[in-house]
Amino acid sequence: MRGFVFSIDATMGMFLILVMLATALFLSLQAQDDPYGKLQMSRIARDAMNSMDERGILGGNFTVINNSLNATIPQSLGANLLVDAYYYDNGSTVYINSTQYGLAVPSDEDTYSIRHEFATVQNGLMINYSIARLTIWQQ
Amino acid sequence: MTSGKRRGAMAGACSGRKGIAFALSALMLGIVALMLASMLAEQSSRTRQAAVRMAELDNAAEFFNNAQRQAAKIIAGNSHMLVMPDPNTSINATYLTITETLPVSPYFAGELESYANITANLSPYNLSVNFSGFGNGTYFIRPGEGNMTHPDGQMLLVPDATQAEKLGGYVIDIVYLTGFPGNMQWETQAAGGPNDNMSVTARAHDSTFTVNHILNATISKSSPSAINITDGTGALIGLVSFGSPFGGKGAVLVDYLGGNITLKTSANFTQPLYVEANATITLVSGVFNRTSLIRVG
Repeated sequence: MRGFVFSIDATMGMFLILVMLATALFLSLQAQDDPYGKLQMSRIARDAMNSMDERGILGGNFTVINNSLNATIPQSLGANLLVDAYYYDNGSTVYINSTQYGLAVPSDEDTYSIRHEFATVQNGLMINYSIARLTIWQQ
Repeated sequence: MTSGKRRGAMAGACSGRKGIAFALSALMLGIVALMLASMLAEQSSRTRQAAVRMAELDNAAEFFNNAQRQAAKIIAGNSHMLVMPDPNTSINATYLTITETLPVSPYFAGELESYANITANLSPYNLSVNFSGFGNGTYFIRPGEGNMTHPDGQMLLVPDATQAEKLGGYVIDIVYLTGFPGNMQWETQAAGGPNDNMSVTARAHDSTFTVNHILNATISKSSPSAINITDGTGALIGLVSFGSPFGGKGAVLVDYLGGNITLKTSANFTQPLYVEANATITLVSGVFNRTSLIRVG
């Protein structure tokens, strides 16, 4: 009888420890996967894109965009910018080219991307229309 | 039964009850821990859903706002609107400056159409841009129903009644890109009453300032006044008209008579204002539906 009670008691204790471990693990995972943190990263990326667009840097040359990425994105973050350019001709959208700026996107980090579209206007004419995708990550 | 055996039986019963109580309390603690984990999971799920919805709303709203900015950028390629503080009083957003090349480029309408189509083609949202009411450039001066249009090779700015009351005056700067303005003079000049005055500065010159004519006056907002600009032979090459009957109190009309000019019109109001183009952008998504005019200044 005593052995039986002891076994039940030990099982209960083990169950309790497992439940506590599972709860701690769950809470720990939740803390790592903060949805508002992702939102904040997206907003940092979006602010950077808007800032570069307002200053007329997007659509500029390679060095200027790379320097601007370094200056606009916080130093603790890495950034990659991919710009796909198009023009409109006779009812159809024509792809021109893609250009990459900044660092290579790492495969082993959590990354956050936003999309920003912009028109390049010169002398009152829309030269092209581009889709920029800015990806940032913690370095 | 001896007293020793009785004590042993009592101790055994007591130990059994303790074991059951301990087991029950452990079970209850486990249940409470599970309930806590379940509540935290539910809370976390709600937080995640709220964050996801907020991110979707952020993306759609930003896409809409950015589409407005890009449309305004293309419009500014032809007519650039700037609303800034009054240089004299520093009151915010009361000084409107419109810089444009007239006549309006024949490519302008095509550029707007291209923008509308390419945006609709590439947008991840159901986005449409409608420039059908825009014509050669129709703008609304807000708040109120003031407007600026380009009928038949002219620029006509008509403030609404409230804006006209708060209009301080105009600075009109006409740059002749081809030819020279030989002379500029008042054809009619109407003086206004104490609550009907506005100051006007009009300047006509060529792009290198080889010739530069300036007129300054305080005139009526309601009664018609007009300035003639002639070339070296005396032929009329420009006409600037103020007040009725050109469109109402405080209105200004610049007729460039087929010439090639850059026109800079500054209007000084005492109430904050902003400018919208008569063109709409509509975005429809699950979390964000909106139609609005394109704000250009």
